[in-house]
Order: sequence, then structure tokens, then C-alpha cells
Amino acid sequence: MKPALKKWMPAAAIPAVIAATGVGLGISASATPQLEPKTAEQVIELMAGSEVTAFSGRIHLSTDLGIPALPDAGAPASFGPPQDVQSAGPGDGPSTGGPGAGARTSAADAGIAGLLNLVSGSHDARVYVDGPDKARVQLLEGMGEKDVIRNGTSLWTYDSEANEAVHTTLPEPGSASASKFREHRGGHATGEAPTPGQLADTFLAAAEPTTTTTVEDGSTVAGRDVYNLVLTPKKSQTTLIEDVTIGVDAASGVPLAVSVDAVGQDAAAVDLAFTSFTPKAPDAKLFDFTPPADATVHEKNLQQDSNWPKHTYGQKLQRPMPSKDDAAHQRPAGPPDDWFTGTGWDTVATIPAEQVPAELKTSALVGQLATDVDGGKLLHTSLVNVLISDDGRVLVGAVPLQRLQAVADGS
Amino acid sequence: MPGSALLVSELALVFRRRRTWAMLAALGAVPVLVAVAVRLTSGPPTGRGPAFLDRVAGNGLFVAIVGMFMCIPLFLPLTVSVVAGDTIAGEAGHGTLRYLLIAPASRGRLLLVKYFGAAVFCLAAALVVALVGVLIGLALFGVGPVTLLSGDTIPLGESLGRIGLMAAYVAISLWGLAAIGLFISTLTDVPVGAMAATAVLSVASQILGQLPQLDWLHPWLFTQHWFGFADLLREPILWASFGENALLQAGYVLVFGALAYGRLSTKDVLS
Repeated sequence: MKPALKKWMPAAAIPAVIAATGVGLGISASATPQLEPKTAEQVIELMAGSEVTAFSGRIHLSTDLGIPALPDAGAPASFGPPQDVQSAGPGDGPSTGGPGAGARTSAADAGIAGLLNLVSGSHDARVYVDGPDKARVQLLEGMGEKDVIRNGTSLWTYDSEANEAVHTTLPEPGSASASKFREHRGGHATGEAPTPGQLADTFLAAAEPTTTTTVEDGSTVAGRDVYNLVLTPKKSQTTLIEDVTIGVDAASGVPLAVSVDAVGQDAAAVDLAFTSFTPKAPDAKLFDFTPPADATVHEKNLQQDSNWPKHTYGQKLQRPMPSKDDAAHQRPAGPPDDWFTGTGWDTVATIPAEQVPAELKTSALVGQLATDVDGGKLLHTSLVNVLISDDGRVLVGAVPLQRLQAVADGS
Repeated sequence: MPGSALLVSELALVFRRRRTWAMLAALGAVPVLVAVAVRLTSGPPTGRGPAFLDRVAGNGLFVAIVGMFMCIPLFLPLTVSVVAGDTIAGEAGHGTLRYLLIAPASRGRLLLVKYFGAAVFCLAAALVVALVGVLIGLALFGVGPVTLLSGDTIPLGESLGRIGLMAAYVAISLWGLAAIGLFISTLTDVPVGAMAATAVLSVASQILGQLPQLDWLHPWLFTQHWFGFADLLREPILWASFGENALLQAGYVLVFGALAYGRLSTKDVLS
């Protein structure tokens, strides 16, 4: 070899070593772990029997709902960091053009835009949980952060960009409303708790008519081996959802990843996964939140506040307990049962005209995003369709437009 | 240590230059301007202007943080480009490179020493911005415990520690650029050309980083984590971006260091 060539050896070797290391890490990350084969029932049992109550970790959420990316309202003035993890807070509408360039966007539009931003693109969050009543979630944004901290009956939210904190007092754990609250959430405040096996049976029996439940090859999430539990809607279901995959940690039974595939879309519509996971109690200091001295602090009392709980908790409390076999039991408790048409994947929720928030009808942003269809306006995403019918009702479902129209005509 | 005399003489060469001090003074002027502007006006409303600018009036320590935010995209890379682009091309331009190579030091060691000088300048530049920021903030606004992005408040001592960490982060961010400048500097005998090329690359890389169509490329851009030091203002500190940035910059230092070695050691030094 010529001596001159030898001198260039490091310049050739170092990129090669870096590339090889990168490829090697990629292969080991995507390798299928060797896991003891388990049936779907066993995996659900593993998940239901998980005893991890304290953990911390980092979560990555990426969504691809097929909606156009909104102009980024979170960009700093001149120079900004790479924008892919940025999300707009409702507070920074005026600093950039925003969707309604020229005119100041209304508060409602800013709220909707903020919500849309949350469900589009990708987001990172850190999660700390210690038992059932201590939790902290930090939504990481480029130059800001949104925090939710729960410690016992005290719930704080903090938004660094607005420097605003909201304190909510939750019902006392012993009080009547709290136990009712819990009954509706978990359904088992009193009496014998079911075993993981029973829970798995109940779940599979409820899912059987509409869903095929299988276990696919394992994979690695946050460096841990997981079983992939796949819920696929049966052919009889007309839905936009192709399948739902839940990655269940083989060691602890904690679900570490959830991804939802939409029909006819290559990339997952929603992909939520831990990028790091530590099943240990986080530092207790993290749950003691004192708002910054110069922050705007709002107080909210859940029992007295009559505004938003009326639509959520209030109605839940007045509703009769759903029986275990009731299909509604599979849905998060909330709106009244008569809003829903169908069971399973093709359920359509019809919100009566008088319950629809006025902002939705007047919002210019909704007007821009919606397309006119027979019988109303359609907000289309790859996972969920929303039909704002001409008579003011709003129909929501993970179903094709035709089914929404049929439900709108039928009732 | 046999090489230490060479190191000391290189540092003396960099820091005895009037140009170096002028650049450090210009960098120090940025936080001063920020602080004076905020002091003379009532300050911007919440959420406007560069990140954290609205916090300055309440706590002088934020002057240092805003200063670093304002310097990292352009001013810091510009000064580092000048120093790094000058390393070899400057000696060649002056006709002193051949005398350096006659000395009983290998070309590899000469490169190491030259890179060391540029790296120390990166650290000095970041520290100047942070230090001047803290001092002018103390003088005009007073300093106190810092409110983090997570909403937690940390005591003054820890706050100063975090600012020190941010300065370290900024210095590390610039080391990759310094290595690129060193390599470009071995390509030419015209120092201004090497400086300009290095500065242009730092801007070009940031522009590429803004294009969503190229997001496959983004993790490889040396400017990718330049703003990541905001993660040091979270509770607990998010070390992931610090680590990723350090790893990325180390990769750039190795690759461009090796390229510079290949170039300089095979170069016919005529001047």
C-alpha cells in the first residue's frame, strides 16, 4: 500500500465503524426476542395480573391521521430549534399567522388548533407514577412543557409557556362521590376483586362477537421484550380501524406500546410507546408541586365547580350502573347510552344538537377543515369520521362516511 | 508531558490575538444588549420574542439563558468558524506551516494541538456569554431561584449550576463544527476561505434541519441538538438530549479529525 493511502485509512475506517455500529444497533433493536409462547388469554391474564404500580418512563406518541399539518404556531421568533416536536399552546396564536392568517384567531379556534396539534405529528412525554394516587406527566415541547401532577386529592396542571397553573381538588378518597366515581371507573370498589384470569375471560367473552384476538411475534419496546396482542375487528364490522396492537411487557405485564392501524394506510395512525421504562418508584419530590411564585394560579373545586363536571362526572353519577354484560361497559363511562348506535367497532355516537358546543358550529377552522357531503359537513381522519349534520347533530365514529350517513338518516 | 509546551503555545497563539478578544467581547455584548433593552422597556408580553425573554425582568439569571439562545444559531458558530478555519490555513497563509512541520512534532500531533486550541475557544465563548449574562442580570434585575419549565423552582446555587451545564452543552455543540472547520482549513492556504466555508456549512445545516422533507437526515445534522439545552431546564434534567448531542458531536470530531489527518499528512506543504 502506498504510504499516502495509509494516511487516509482512519478517514475511511471511522465512518465505516460508525455505520457498522449503527446498523448493528438497529438489527439488535428489531430482532425478535425469544419468548415462551403464550395464548391471547394468557397474555391478557399477564397484563391483568401486573403488579407494577410504580414506574417512570418516557413515552413517544406519533400520530398520522391523514389530516393536513397545521401551520406551526409554536415557533420562536427568528431562529428556532428543529420543529418536529413542537406543538402549539393555545396561548401563542397571536405571535405567528396561525390558521386564520390576517385575522386574530378566536379563542375557540385556538383551542381546537391546540387539540389538533396534540393529535398530529409526534410528541414526547415523561411519565412518573407511584401507586394509584400519585402521578406526574410532563409533555415535552421544544422550549416549553406542560405538566399534570396528581398527589392524593390535589391535581395541578402547569403550562410553562403561559406560566399558568390550575389547581383542582379531587374528591376525598373516602367520600361517597369518590367511591361512586371509582365504581364507574373500575367497577369494583367493593367486594372481591376478580382474578387476572377472570378478567381475561370477561374481556375475551365481551370481545368475541366483534374481535379476533391473537398473539403475534414478540418485539422489543424500550429495551424490554414484549408480547404483541393484536385485536382485529371481524369482517362483519364496518370500521376504519384495521387492527390494534398492544405490546405487553413479558417480565412485568405492563402494556408498553399501543398502536392503531387504519384501513388503507401504511403508517400506524396512532403509535404510542415507551422509549424508556423503569419499574421503580420515582423520586417522591416529583409529586410535591408548588407553583412558581410569578405564575397565574387558578383554583378549581371539583365538587363545587358546576361547569365542566356536569357533562362528565355529573352525568356519570346519575346514570344507572351498567351491568357487566352491557356493551357500554367496554366503553369509557361518560355520555348517556342512548347516544350510541351499534356495539363493537362500528359504534356511532350521536350528539344531540343541543349538547353540541356552540364553538364547533361557529369555528372558522372547522369550516376550513370540513368538506361538504350529503346531509352535512364531514371532518375526515384516517381513524375517525365526524359528521356535522345539517340539523345540528354531530355523529362520531371510527367508521366510513356511509355508515355515519345511514345512522343520521335512521334516527 | 512533552506535548504540553506545544499546547500552551497554541493557546497563547489563539488567546493573544486581538481578534479573539474582539470576538469574545462581541459575544459578551449580546446578553448586555438583551438586558439593557428589557430594562429600558417594560419587557415583552408573555410568549413573545425569543424563548424565556419574558422571564428576564423577573430574574436576571435568564439573561444568560436568553443570551445563549440568541448566540447559538449564528454568532457562536461564526466566531468558532473564524478560529477553526484559521488553524491550519492561517499558518499556511503566513508561510509558517513548514516551520511548524520541521519541529520534531508529527503532523498528527500538530492537528491535535490545533484542534485543542479551537475547542478551548468554543468553551471560552460559551462561558463568556453565560458569565456576562449572569453578571449583567445581577446588576440590572437581581437574581433569584429559577423556575424550571416543569414549574418547579430550584434554589440559586443549583440554578447557577444549571447555567454552567448549559454553557457546557453549548461548548460541546460547537466542537463538531470546530472539527469541520479544522478539516476545511487543511484544504486551503487561504484562511478566509476556510472560515467562510465553515460558517456557511453551519447555516446550511440549520436550514436543512428546518425542512420536513429531509427528516431522515435530521438526526445526522451537527446542528440538530443545538437548541436541546432547554432540556437542562426540566425537573428532573432530561439527560437524553445531552447524551445524544455529545455522541453526535464526538462522531463529527472523529470523522472530520480523521479526514483532516488524511489531508494534512499527505499534503505537500510548500508554504
